[in-house]
Amino acid sequence: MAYILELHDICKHFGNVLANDHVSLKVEKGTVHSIVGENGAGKTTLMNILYGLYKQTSGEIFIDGTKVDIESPSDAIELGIGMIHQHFKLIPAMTVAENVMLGEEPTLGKVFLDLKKINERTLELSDKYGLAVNPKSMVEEISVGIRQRVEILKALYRNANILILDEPTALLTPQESEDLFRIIERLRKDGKTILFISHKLKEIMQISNNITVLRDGKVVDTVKKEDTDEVHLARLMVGRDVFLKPAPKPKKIGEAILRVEHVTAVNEYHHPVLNDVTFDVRSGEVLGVAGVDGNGQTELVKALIGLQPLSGGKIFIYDQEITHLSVKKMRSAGIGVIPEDRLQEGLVEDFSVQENLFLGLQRSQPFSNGTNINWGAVRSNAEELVKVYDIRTPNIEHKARLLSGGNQQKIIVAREIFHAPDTIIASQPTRGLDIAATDFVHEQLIKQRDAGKGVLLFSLSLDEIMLLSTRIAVIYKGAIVAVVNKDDVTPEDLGLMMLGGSYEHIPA
Amino acid sequence: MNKKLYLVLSLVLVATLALTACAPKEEAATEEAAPAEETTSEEAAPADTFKVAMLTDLGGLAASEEVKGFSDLGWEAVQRAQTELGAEVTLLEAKELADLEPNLTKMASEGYDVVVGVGYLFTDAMTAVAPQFPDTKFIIVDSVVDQPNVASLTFAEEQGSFLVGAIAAGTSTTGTIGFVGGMESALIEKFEAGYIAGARAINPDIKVLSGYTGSFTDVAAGKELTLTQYGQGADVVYAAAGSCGLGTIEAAQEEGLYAIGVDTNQDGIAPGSVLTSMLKHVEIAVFDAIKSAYEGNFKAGVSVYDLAAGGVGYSPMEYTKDKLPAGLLEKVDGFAERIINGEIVVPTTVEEANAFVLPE
Amino acid sequence: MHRIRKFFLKQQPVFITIIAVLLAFVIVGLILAATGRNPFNAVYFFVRGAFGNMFNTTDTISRVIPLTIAGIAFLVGAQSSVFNVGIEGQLLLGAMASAVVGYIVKLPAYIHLPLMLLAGALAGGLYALIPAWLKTKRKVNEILSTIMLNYPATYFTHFLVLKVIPIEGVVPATPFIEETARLPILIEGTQLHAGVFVMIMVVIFAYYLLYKTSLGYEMRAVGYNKTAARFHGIPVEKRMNFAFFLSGMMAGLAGAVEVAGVHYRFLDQFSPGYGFDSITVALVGLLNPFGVVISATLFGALKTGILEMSVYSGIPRQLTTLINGIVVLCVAAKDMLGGWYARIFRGKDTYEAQKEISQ
Repeated sequence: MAYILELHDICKHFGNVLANDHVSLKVEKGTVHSIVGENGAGKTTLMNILYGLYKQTSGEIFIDGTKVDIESPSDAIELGIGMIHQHFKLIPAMTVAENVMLGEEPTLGKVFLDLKKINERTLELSDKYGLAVNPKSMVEEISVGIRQRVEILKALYRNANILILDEPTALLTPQESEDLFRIIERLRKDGKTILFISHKLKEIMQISNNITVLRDGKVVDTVKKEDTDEVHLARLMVGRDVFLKPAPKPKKIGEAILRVEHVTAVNEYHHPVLNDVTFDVRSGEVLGVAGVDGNGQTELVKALIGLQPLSGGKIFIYDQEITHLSVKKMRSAGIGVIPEDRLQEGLVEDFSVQENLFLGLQRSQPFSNGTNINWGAVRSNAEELVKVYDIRTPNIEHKARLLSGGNQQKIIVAREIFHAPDTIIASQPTRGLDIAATDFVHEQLIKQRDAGKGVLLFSLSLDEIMLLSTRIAVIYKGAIVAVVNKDDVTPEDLGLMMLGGSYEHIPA
Repeated sequence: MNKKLYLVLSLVLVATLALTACAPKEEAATEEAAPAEETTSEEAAPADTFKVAMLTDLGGLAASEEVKGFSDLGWEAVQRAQTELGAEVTLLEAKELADLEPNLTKMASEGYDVVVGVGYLFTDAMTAVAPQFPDTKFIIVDSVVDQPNVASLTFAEEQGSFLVGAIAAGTSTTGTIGFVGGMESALIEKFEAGYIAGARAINPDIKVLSGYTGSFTDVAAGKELTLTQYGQGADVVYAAAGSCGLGTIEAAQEEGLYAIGVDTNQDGIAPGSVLTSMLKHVEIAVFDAIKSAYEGNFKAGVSVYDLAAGGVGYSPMEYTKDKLPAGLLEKVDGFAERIINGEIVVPTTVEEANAFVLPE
Repeated sequence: MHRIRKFFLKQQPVFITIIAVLLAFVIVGLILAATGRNPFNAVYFFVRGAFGNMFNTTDTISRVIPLTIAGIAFLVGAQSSVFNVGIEGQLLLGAMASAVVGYIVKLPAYIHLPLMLLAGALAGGLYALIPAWLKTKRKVNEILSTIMLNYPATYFTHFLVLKVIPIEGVVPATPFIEETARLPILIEGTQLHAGVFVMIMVVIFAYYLLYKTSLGYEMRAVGYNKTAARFHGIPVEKRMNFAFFLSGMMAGLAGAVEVAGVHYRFLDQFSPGYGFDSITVALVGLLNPFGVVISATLFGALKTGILEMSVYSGIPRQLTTLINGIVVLCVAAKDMLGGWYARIFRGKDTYEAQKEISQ
């Protein structure tokens, strides 16, 4: 078998950090080769070396058996390597075709752009690989999925034989991802070689021929797809067994902590968004809310923390009514929240780790006497939480913006739990997190459950709902259409109900 | 937040650039002044050299010979002192009001014998600084500072304006004339009042349109206001508005109507379009004061430069004399005489001017 | 060596700003050299003019006072994402209100002076409540509303000194304020007045408020991320209204201090655009209270230094505006400088890698 690309003992130092540690890799021509690993495992660094953005500290690269020296992206392009970055590098105000040709435009008499030719060539390439891109669309007007295809076209136009896709599905919808996989398959059949970077096990298993697992900058193993499965890959990536299995049964379920009675709300156009919602969350259980995105989950979370005005209904914590209270009062009545949108709602990115760790508590003891902040208390709290929750940060004055998604989420979880609420509302708590971080969040939620708190879990992932929930409420068009015991349903049943089907079992 | 910051930043940038663009005239002035400075800068002058410093207020000097204004006349006087009296001279242009007092102090403490502040904005600053330097002679133009070492030079602008008002009314065929002022102040009101009264002396039914630009530097505003007044039937417009007046002259040229200049002889800026100019002989007044200091008979207190003293007047009308109605200038000169001998008392407020009736 | 590197990396924004300012001077120096003038000669006179002797130094300080207070005014707003571009107008109204209180009433100094400063601050603060209301109740962009509200303030004060308040002489101004309402001169024969203490108090107050109190923490949270602030129970609109009011108060105070310490009356056109300079001052000061003092010192020195430079070295005065503009440009180009800076102190390609490493 001929290897189109070989890496020999690639090392890369950043200061005293070793990002790639003697990485060796062989890629067969005409295959999809996945590079997988947790965030920070060194995947992106390795690809940036290959694309000439970084220069390796030591090690050698061979293409088609010839040793090459890649000093810059233009060298890489010359050698037939194309890279599709996580964040696209397109010019929004130009057309698709203009973006594709940028820098290598066909011209008329070396002065004028040959627009006709530009469009024709783009269309030709697009048709060949089934990309279905209109060369004349403005980039600013097309969707993320299509933009990605434009990036692919750019690489193909420059005769790339090796295409690097860096976490290409991170920003895509499930449907767009499927389309992408079809394109990748077509490219592969045409003889292109794909390097696919990801940490999503499912899609890796779906499209790869070979898989190389990186951990802490080192190659752990390279395996054929046929010889592995998701659990095995997860273990290789994380280095230990992971939680990804159903949570242990709850010990003791107690009385209802949070009660929602006939809650109704309308949006700014007076359309109902919450429709007579009634449920309760009991001490010692996880109540999972399953539903297709946009069926009122966001509004329900907001209603429970005082950000969604209600047109009817009541909300109680134990016997205390908290309907219509301010955010601050509702939260101090005993509600903690891990919001859906980490960066917008959960954190102040430009605050330091320690500042984020008491957000919302800035007027409570011990952090403040009501007027002045006690920075000593803030600091010792932060140091403790960073240790307990293993928040990886150089120091507590580091800006939250610079941390990884997993560590940002740990800040939120740590803070909300520290807040010691009676009920924790977790909305999409693991979205975008890698396996280890997901595992961590799950573990914390179960811990809170077992400590006698009520946990209300909103997730779009049925797997996650099934893993963690004690009972499951199904939300559809702003109404809770059923509340069932987890053990009484299958994911298929839930899927049906989420789409409006009925369920004949008796609700728990 | 970053986006907004950049928006603010670009606003600041634009404002700064606009400011730079608005002030091109100063640059050349400093160039012009540079040769004079060379004599003063490095070599320490002998102790007995007679030293004169001139300070401008926010107006500064003009960019070119033709558009010279009020401050340039002061500088003319100081340069004359350099050639005729052998004085060592320097010029300091202020950029903001907060500069005035330090500038005065700086010049006085560096041993200048005479420090000239051109412009009424120096009033407060000179009142504060003059007592600290009793041996220095201060001269202020256009305002009164009551200190034993300050000569206050004021002008009877209303008298000069009276004469050009008479010329305007006598030349107008529409019976409507205009007045363009700069920043509103008691000083500019004197110009307006004299102008109205002079016009009424020729034609008691004359209609005088008045407007202020709110600036002494905004040429475009001066032009716009003038065009408006032309539109309302005026055919002669008098501008007492610093460099806004250049806008008035430009408008006159475009419309083929008349403008009247101020302070210096501006007839040559647009020959034929500038009917005449109200002259304010700052150069004479300042030079007189410097000379008296040089000769050791410096006179503190107020000196009023009026028609009688030759401090104000109208230009020789090189380009327009022939176009005037016959006998107009004789009439105007008659008024001048009557003002000098006290028969006509020219009003200084608009209210009085509107009620002005030429005494029989 | 490693430690030095680390220090330079941590203080990156500060050093980049310093580099930007130095770069501006280098550019201006090159322009001077290109036009056949000696830049070193210019620097000599510049430094002499700004700090060469007691008089020049105190003159510089007296320019730094209004710039700093106005800079803090912009800062307290910007830290709460309130971009108050209307400081000029609030400053003028503050100056007018304080001048009126200064000359109309007769009181002992220990009441009169604080009262007139308070009147100035209140006038500015109340005026800033107009854009605050427009912003939080009507969603009107505050940059637009504040910039437009400068005009009514300018012309209203202009109208007052011309038509309403009786004055003698030709200067459009209010009468002089009473002795009891004046900030005393600290060193006889100089311009240095007790406003410098007001300035120091304002800086310390701003620092304390923003970084030591719960309220300041909430204001900064609103400034960085309104959604998160709202999610965590911070009343966003209230905090923004307060930021407007405080910003206006500081602006008004800046005007009042100018009246009480320099002019002793409201003088038409007394402000050379302190309100607009304040934005540059605050941004170059990296929106940090102490940074604002340093940057105000720079801009104050620009005013006095260039004055001397223009007299003695024959270099045109327009350089002040030129240097101002170039400094702003260089600071705006900070991202670019940031890349170069990182390369110098970290070696190639590590700037982009910083984020990756910290994960």
